[in-house]
Amino acid sequence: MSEDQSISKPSESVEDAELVSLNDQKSSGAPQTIGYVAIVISIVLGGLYLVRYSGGFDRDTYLESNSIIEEMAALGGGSGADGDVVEVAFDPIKEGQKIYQTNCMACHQVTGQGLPGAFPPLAESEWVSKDPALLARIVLGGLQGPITVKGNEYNSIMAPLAAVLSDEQVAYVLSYIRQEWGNTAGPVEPTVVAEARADMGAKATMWTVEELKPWITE
Amino acid sequence: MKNFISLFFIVFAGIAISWFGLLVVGANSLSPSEEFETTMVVAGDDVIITGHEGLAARGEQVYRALACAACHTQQVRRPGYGGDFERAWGSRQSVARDYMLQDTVVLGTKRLGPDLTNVGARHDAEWFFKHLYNPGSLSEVSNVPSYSFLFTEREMSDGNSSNSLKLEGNDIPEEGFEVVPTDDAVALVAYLQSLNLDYDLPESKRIK
Amino acid sequence: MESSLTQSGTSAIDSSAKAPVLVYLFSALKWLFFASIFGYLASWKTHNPEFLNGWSFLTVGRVQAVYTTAFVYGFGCNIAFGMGLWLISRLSGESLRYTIVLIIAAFVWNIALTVGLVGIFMGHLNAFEFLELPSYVKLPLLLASLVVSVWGLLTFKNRKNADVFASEWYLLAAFLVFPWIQVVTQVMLFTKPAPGVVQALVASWVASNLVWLWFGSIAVAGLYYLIPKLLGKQILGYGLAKIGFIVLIFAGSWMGAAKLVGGPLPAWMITSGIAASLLMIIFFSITGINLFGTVWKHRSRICDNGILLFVGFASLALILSGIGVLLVSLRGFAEVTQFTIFLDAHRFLILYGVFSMTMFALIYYSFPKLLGREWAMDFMISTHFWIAFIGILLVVVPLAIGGWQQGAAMSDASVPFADIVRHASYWMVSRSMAWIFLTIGHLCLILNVLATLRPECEAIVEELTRTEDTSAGGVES
Repeated sequence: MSEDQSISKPSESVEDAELVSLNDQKSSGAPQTIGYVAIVISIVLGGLYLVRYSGGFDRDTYLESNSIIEEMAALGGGSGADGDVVEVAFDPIKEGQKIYQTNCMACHQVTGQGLPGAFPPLAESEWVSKDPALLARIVLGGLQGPITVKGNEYNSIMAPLAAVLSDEQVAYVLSYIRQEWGNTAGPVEPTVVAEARADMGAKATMWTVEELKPWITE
Repeated sequence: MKNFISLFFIVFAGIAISWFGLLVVGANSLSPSEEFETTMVVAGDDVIITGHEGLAARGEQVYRALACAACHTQQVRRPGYGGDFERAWGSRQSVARDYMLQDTVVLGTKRLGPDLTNVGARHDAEWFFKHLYNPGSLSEVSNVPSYSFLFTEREMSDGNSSNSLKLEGNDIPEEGFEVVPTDDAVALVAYLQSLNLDYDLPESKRIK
Repeated sequence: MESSLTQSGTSAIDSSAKAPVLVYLFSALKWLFFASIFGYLASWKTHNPEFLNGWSFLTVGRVQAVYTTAFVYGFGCNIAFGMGLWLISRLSGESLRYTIVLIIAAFVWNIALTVGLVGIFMGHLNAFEFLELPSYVKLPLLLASLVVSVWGLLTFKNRKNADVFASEWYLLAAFLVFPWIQVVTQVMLFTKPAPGVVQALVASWVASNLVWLWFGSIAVAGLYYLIPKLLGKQILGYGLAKIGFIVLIFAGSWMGAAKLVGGPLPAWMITSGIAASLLMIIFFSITGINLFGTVWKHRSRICDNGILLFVGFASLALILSGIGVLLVSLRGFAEVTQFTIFLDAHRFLILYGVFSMTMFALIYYSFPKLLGREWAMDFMISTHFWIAFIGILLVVVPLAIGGWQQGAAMSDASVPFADIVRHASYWMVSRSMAWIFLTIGHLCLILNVLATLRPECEAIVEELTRTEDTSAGGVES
């Protein structure tokens, strides 16, 4: 064939092992300036962006800035995300609903209808509109033995929640129940619950309807 | 960066940090848990988030096997970002909880067809079957191919079957024949009908 | 000094690398041809979906999956393995040992890939872009790529060349990252699937690292090597190169989440992806100066050599891709471009404009050295370049414009969706035209290879015809 040409086209004047020594120089002039400017700009931009728009690294925050959160809220949608967010007025009823869902819903159901034969209803129940002092004692101390609600007799056990809920929480959940599912009684103050708790002291057994007679008024 | 160990360590650290910080942390924070529930009550309505079950689960596999995600997305962006809300593709942003129990999440990356997150609320089964058999017969679609291989044309035995397609114009089969969907088509339509975003979540509420 | 520093030492390395690298090279060319056909078909079906419709195995989504898989895992990975191994052994001054294992790995890879593609045709594909291959081929693919990675890492560890050049950093990164992301894919998506939308996050992370930390690293390594070798000159601003590398590793790996902007992920994940993309300005500026800056400084030399055309173009495409990365990560820009063909244009620019063009350059550079003879049709190198250049322009520019138009129209609810798709499909016709050019370019390369191998080809043909004559003669007598 043809004679042995050099295999590389233009000068393969650089050996592989020489690549580093060829390039081993401190950058200077334009490349260095551009490089350092780029570094400073991107660190500043990237850092600012990360801090500003991270939504507090919160799992439930999908909207990246307060202005968008407000915009969505104004439209009636969006999320009530936590963290760096618009101050929404505290709603004890909403709080009470959450407490109800966690502690009461299992037996009294989401509709407040209870379970026939097992757990009494709270919806339009005559007990719910009675003295808050009575209701606070039931929630704090629990209930056992027969009880008649809306003409039906129930005989179950309601566990005491004194150790689980604070005075405020009992007040919120009672306030919620008293205005939900057609109930039209007024809210309950935490002071009433605090009084009931102090009065009960260290009650060893759960309440019975007999024991609650002093606070049952018509 | 002069030697193997330091180079190896640098690369290893970089990948490990991003893998852990984004994927592992993400997987942990977005898993179902006691305070990230899949059943809850929002504004008085029961909300139960599920994966696709039964026929819809089978349809999810058909959707994947036909690579529908090549042209369709299943994510709704928030109102005001892009035109998703204005096009009635969904009245709220879709969020992580919506997908939490699904087997295969096909968010999709391209829209050569409309978004499907809420398509179950937009069309009924008959529309879906017609769309799959001959999309050209429905005026509002344009670029989707027909999936007529998901249907069989067969001889009628004892009149129309209950699930034969009601077709018009050129599509009507000849006398004595009917077009029925195969099992795959039925499953796929069941899946599409199950795609629904018409419920609220605490972190994403619909705009009416 | 060491004998490896002399010309004969380099030849020794080349002859040890010859067999496995050529096996990977030929596999890559075979897959390139296959991918060209399916690239054209996939593109055609996006604007003419009824074309060849009617069978489930040719439905538009599956054809796209076949094209992507064949191009990425067939052509892309094979050539990345081959050129990666050749570069690391050359730069380390250390021969590849036990090359038979590498050849076996190549066969395992290609057989597994073929099985996977048949599976995709049959509908066993997965729903994530770039990750469509069915799970049952993942293990052989992982093992084959592990072999390549381990060989590469060990060759570097046993290097005779004490100095470590920039290409070697990037090659090491690539060898380490590729098996890692394969394992993450299989475990977090299929074996023990992540909950819900985290799957999409995993898929984005893997796809982004596949493109930038695997293919991108191999391409950048190739460019850092070819530029000083071909020009015989210093790289401009090489002192900064380290910083660019560090940024790619630590920030570049976070970029994937930015693609899910506006999607069902907490804001912080998307913001982290965008912040990472902003930090990548450093990487693109520094490598831009190093690579394109050097080529530009000596641009009068470009016409001397067809390979320099590929190298110069790829360096420029890297900078343009970087600008693209920055733009599409910003929430405001992404609002328009997010689900449009703009992203197709950007991805094509990276995978073809940067990676494939660099690989072509490496092929044109290394093949003569491995074989020990010149290209038979040297002029074809420039021809290939210009044809490919037209093809790339025909993909990137119309899809970018069309994608912007598509996105703007999607934000405007008064435009019926059917109209949007119709207009977009007019732009997509350009991509189908481009595939004709690109395929011709690929044929230029394949023809050149065959012509250069003419003695071997003629010998094979002679062998075959001689056998026929003998048998014919045998029958007669």
